[in-house]
Amino acid sequence: MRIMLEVRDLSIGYKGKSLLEGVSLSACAGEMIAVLGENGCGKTTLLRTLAGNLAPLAGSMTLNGIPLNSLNVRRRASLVSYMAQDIVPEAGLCGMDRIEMSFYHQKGLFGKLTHKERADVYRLAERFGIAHLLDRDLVEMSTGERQTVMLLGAALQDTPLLLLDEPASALDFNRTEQLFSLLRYLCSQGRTVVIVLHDPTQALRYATKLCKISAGRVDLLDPTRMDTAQLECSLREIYPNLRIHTDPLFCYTDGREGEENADL
Amino acid sequence: MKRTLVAFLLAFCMLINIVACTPAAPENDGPITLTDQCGETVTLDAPAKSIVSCYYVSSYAVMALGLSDRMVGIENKANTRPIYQMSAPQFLELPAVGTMKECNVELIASLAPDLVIMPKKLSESAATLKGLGLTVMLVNPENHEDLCEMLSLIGAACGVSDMAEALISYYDTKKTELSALTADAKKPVVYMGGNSSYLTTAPAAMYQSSLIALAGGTNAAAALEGDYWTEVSYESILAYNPDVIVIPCGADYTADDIRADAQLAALAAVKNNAIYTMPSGIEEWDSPIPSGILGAMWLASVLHPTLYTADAFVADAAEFYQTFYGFTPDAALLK
Amino acid sequence: MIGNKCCKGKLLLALALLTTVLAVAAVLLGSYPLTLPDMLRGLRELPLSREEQTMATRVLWQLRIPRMLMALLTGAVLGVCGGVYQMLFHSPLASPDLTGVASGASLGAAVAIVLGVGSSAARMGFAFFGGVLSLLLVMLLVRFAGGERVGTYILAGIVISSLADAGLMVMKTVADPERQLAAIEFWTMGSFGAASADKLLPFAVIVLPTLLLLLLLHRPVSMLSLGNDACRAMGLSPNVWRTLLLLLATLSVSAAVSVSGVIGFVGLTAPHIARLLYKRRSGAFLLVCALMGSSLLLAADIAAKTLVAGAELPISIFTVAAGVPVLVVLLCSRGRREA
Repeated sequence: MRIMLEVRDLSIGYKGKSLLEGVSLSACAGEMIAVLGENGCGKTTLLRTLAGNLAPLAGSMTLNGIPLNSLNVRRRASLVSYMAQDIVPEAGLCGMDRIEMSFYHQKGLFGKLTHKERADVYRLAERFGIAHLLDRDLVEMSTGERQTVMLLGAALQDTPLLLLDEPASALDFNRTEQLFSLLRYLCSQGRTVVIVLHDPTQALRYATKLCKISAGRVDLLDPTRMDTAQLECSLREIYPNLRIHTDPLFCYTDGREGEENADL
Repeated sequence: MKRTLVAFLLAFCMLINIVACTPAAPENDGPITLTDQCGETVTLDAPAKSIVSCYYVSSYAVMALGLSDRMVGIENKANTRPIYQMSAPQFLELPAVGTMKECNVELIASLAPDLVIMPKKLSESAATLKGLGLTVMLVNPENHEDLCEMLSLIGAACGVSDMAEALISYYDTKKTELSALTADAKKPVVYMGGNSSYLTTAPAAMYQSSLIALAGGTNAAAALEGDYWTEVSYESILAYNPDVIVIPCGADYTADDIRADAQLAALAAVKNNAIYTMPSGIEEWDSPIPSGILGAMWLASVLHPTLYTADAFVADAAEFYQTFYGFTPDAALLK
Repeated sequence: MIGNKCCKGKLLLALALLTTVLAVAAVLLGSYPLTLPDMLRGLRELPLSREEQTMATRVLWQLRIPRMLMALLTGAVLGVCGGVYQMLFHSPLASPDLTGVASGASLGAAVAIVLGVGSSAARMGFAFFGGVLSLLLVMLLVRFAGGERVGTYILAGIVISSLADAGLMVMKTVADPERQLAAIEFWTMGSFGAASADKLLPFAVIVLPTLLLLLLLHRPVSMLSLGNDACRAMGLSPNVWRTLLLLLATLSVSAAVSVSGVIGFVGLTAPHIARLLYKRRSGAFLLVCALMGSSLLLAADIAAKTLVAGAELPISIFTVAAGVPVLVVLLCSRGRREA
């Protein structure tokens, strides 16, 4: 499979103060990479840098051989879509308004959606059960509903690379299932997804690769080439006392809480 | 002897003027072309029969030239000027067309005047009115010469040039008389305060300074530069040590305020109680208005009471108003 | 959804109708008696030269109609710019003066008055320049501070308009109290009393294209309101577009302020009323802001020139009088519906 996204020796951080250095990873078309790490380790910063919202301090990022930072904003939006954890919603914008904005890189300032495109939007919204939210104000939605709208926007932006920052954090169970089903579908279409997750179970279940960030280091793990013990060992850097049960696949924390709490 | 001769000449001149001032026959018809005080050309097909005045000084001029009946619009707040009530009470019924900051262009247009007289400050509105096809004359009477020019212009525009000439020759006669009167007398040092505070005064270039000189006095602040009211410190006033302090017509303070001010107690003028307030019951004699000559005459009667008594002044002033404004003022207002 | 579109269409029509009615009223009312037959004659006599026209026609074309157009356009400008600023800066308190336009323009005019610059055209030029300069200083300050966030713009705006206000105070102290000070105070009060045809042209030349552009660019405005990150992720360069929108808004507001002084409140109330009526901030929202602003200002101007016969009252009294009750009524009705 050809490599689509290639990140080499990337240093990311804010205003000359680097958070992570020497980040290297690559992803092929159709892969889903789950980014795992503790709070504050740099997951959002990494995604923001890949999305072009933050300038990298060093290194390169290319998509299909095109250096991402050489693109202008609009061209980049046609290749990379980004979903933040939440937006500060503006009162007076409805779900449909937000989704229409995702078409901006195609339509420009004045272009309108075609009937077919509108129908696609509705169909997808129906599938996620948010068709009724399309003309509701963004501020009147719950966080989960808003996240679903933003997810749809990102998906409909029709880009080869999707960057999603904790899209499932506020979703209910059904919608979470729908989210991953959608992502699976998009990957099967040849798109690449980089998604920040907090639940290692979800990561191991759906992702093809894991990007582990801990102690300022970034490691790309291929679970298919590692046995359970190796995985556990590696992931314990982020999740202490992690155990992985493979059939059915779920992860849990080994009960040593009694021992830890005895000292309190 | 000399004085009698002068008085006789004066009376003779005035007699001629009075004769000439009876209802003026309209001058020869024909287009009148004038240059107003902003250098703009003013053209009238015939002497103006209806006038709008946006400025109190030009309203005064209209009265002094005997044109009160032709006025159709007047500046705002006409009821704050006592002379209107005395000389032309019909002015108080006229529509108010605006102030020095803004005038109501549509209202002026609706009055359809033959001539609109406006101050230089309103030149922008004047341009708009000219754009509508009205005849506008801009005036700027900052000093005596400009005042005379304004009177001539209004006189010419309304076909009463002879009235304007009569008024101007009255000024000239009076000026000559005053100069002659005070030529040999000692000129007291006079300090004239400003309207807002007595800590401002008029430098030599200002109208008020020439008024003092004409009245036979010396402006305490003659050495000051500038052409507008200048702030002075207590020390400066004490250094001037004026013989006389004059409070202008529109002052916000009174003689009592000056007497009460401990810092000025050392002044000769305060000690001798030589603080005088210019009478303001009729008009503001301390500015370049048609009756402004009375300001100099009043001050002369104050500075040189032996040469020109207060009663003589009252008589002259009453005569002036009777002649040019057509009413006899209350003598109490002339002190 | 279809029902909604129909409602929105009806609202636009109703507002357009209201604006038209007020515009016609503004042309009919004034100190000079103009009747409907006068207006019709005015239309017929338009091609004639000035000498051939009647006085009524001249008043109509040189005073009445320019004044109406200036009030209409200024209201539209203030409404649209208020709406744009409230979205760009995420603040219901934002008004077109957020970047200090009105303060800068007032300072420019005060400088012109104190320097003794005679012609009113030069004075307008100073005011316009002052307004635009305040925006440039805000942009410089934001760049210097290195922040991209909305809060940075608001703070920079506070700094610059405070500086301009201080400058204005200095001018007022330096100004000669008998002549210049009154002129400065009067200038800052705002009025359409001096409106005329030759003032309309330079004003319209700047305002019409900028207004049109702002109305057309509602999409970038909406996108910018979601924040820099989201904006960039969707393909719109936030800094470029924010700068462009601010520049367009400042040009038009500065032009308005330099011609008729500072008229407050419309830029604040019109977008809120528009929001309460139109319920959306997308699509034709800015157009609703424009129509609302025009209506408010036309109504206020009519009151300012007719309430006391022959006198011209300060228009800001009426912008408040017109805006506040409408706002209160809408707020209450909205509250009742939600309860």
